[in-house]
Amino acid sequence: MDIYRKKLSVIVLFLLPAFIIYFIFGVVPIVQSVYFSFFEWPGIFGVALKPVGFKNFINMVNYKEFWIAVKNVLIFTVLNIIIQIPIGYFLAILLSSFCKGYRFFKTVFFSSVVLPITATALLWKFIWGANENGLLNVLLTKIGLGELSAAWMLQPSTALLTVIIANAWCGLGYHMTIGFAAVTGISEDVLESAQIDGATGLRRIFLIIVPMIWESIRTSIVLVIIGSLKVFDIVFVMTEGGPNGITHVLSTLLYYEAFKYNNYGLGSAISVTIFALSIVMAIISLRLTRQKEL
Amino acid sequence: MGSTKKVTFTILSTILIISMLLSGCTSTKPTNQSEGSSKAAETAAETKAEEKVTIRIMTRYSGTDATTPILEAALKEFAVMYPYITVQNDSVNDEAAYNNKLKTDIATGSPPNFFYMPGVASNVEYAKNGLLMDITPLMEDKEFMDGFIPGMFETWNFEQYGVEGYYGIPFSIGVENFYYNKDLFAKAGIEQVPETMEDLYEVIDKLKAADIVPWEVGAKATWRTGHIHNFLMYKYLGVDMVKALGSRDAKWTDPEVVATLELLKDLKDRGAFQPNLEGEDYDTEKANFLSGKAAMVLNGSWFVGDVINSDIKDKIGMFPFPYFSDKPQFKDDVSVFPQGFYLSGKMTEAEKDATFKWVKFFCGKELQSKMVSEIQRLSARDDIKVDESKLSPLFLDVQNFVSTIKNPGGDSFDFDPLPSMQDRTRNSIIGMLLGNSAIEAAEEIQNEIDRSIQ
Repeated sequence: MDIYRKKLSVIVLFLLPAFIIYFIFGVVPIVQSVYFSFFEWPGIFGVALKPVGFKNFINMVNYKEFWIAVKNVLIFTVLNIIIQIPIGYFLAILLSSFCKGYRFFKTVFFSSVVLPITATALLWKFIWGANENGLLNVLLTKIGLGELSAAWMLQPSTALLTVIIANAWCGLGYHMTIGFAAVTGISEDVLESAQIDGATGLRRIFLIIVPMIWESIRTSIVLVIIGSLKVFDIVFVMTEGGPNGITHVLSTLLYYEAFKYNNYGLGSAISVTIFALSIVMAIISLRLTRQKEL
Repeated sequence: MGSTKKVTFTILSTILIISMLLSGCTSTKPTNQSEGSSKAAETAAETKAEEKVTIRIMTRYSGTDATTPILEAALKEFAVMYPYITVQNDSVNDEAAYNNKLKTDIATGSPPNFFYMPGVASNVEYAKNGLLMDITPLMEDKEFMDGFIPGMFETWNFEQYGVEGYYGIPFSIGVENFYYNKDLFAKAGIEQVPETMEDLYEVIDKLKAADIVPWEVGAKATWRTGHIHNFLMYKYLGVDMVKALGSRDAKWTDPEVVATLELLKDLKDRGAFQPNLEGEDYDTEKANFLSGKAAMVLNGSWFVGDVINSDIKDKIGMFPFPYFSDKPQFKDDVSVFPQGFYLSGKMTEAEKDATFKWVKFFCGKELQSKMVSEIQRLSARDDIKVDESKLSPLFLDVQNFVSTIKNPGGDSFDFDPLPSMQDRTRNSIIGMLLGNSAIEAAEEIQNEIDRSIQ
């Protein structure tokens, strides 16, 4: 069996089906999007593509809603990193210290990940609803804090935050699982030695555990960045980019421009922007989080 | 044990593959039933053996829509009348899902044979590119044509947009007016329904003083405030001025147009609506009004069905949207929403023939009479026969009101060729109600137009 594993032809043969699927459904659409971004097409079969050069990109940067979407997506990314990674990994470290019952809690925390996004979005819409339609407002009123109730999803100051919190709730369990695998992979000898040397409590966490699982944390950060840059479903179901476009992200803007307003060229330009931003931000985050050589 | 596992695995895999293959072979077809009118039986008997043809229809009449049973019954009856024609019903009720499906069909060059598409001026591009059929040949059938309310086809006369021909077939009309709770009006000491806007402001103040929500609006559905603004524009500027916005002879930033946005903002500021209306959905709006929590709603004739099925149906009356006393010339400019269907411009002769038969049946006198009788929805025809004693007084009031309309207009963006204007106008209105000024809202809308022109 080892002989077959080392043969290049066998390796290529087994990788080929996955590569073909990835190429057809991943690479080709990306290349096509770049191509279409230099044309105008009204979404009518039979109407030829009209070459417009960089006009779609120029229109895009002159479009006020585009910059709102860019700002929102950056805020979305940063806040999701700040919320999901520390809480997720904290839960992972906490659960790893449990001798019993950790499986139960792992399942509970992971359950938010397996729920369909549309169900999650509808659930959080119900929580954030305005007036007496919102669970949070009802709760605040019941505990005597009714003056704090608000139209959370309508106010410019809180509308995007409602979606970010819902999204973070979805992703926490995923990073907790990655973190748990990383933490439980640390050798017991290392942890015992550290304890003998006096590294306990927070020092143990920040000086021993975190550096040892840093590669997993970097991976989680990159995943959060890519996921946030291309987020669509939760925003679309919760707010549809509203009210009045204040919660638009790049993907929802792309959807509206291409599929509602028949500006397929502009939509393609936005998709190219998302792609480029994802690569740039992933590279920057990997460089910034690179551990120095000892 | 190993061989047992292999056999089990093989059997399960085979079952999975077969079931996947079989699931791809199913299709939805309407069932033929033996029931039907005597006319249907005669037509079936007379029909010669024809080449089988399948046509596809797409409407919003599915799920909980009141017209769904009418469509489903029509499909069954049509299948008996024309056994060689299969009507594939791809109707979807949800607006976003419907628009996605239709846009995909159009982009791939296979629009349904008979379908609903929102907007009017924004659909001219499709007509120019041959996706929509010019129905002028269909209009040569005098018996079919003579029964329509005069002028109904003019909505889809694209000559006004530079394309010759008629492209839509009217099916029903929706006309908007106020529905009000008589008991709540009496409780607030209001003896007469308002006729002018000044009267309406007084009514609002009296209802507020009596601690009653004057006007319930579920503005989360942005079309609710969009429709209010339609009326303010028609009563303040007239339908013709709104058409001028679409033809670019007027601008949204013109002072008189901005004034109509200010009127809507002023209604909110004076407390006409319930708090946080922007966060309330349409179903909650209807529920609150029909449970007696609010005095008025502005809604269409499609709302009559909900009213007559409610517990307070005997307490609900209607009155037209008031006019401005200094602008009586626009008193009869009213929001009317003719609903019609387009036909595909990409049909074979057999499909065209089958689709024409479907159109004459579905939009014909018999089915339209059934629609009015059973779900009390306004028909686009005036040759229908119904037993008026079985219709609710409220519906009859609405029907009578229709005859007073002199200058109908639909949504303001119906006259605009830009597909994005539906969302732009409605979203800017919401933004204004949430804190932007009227001029900011007007500028947002005008910028959208200017951007498209560049």
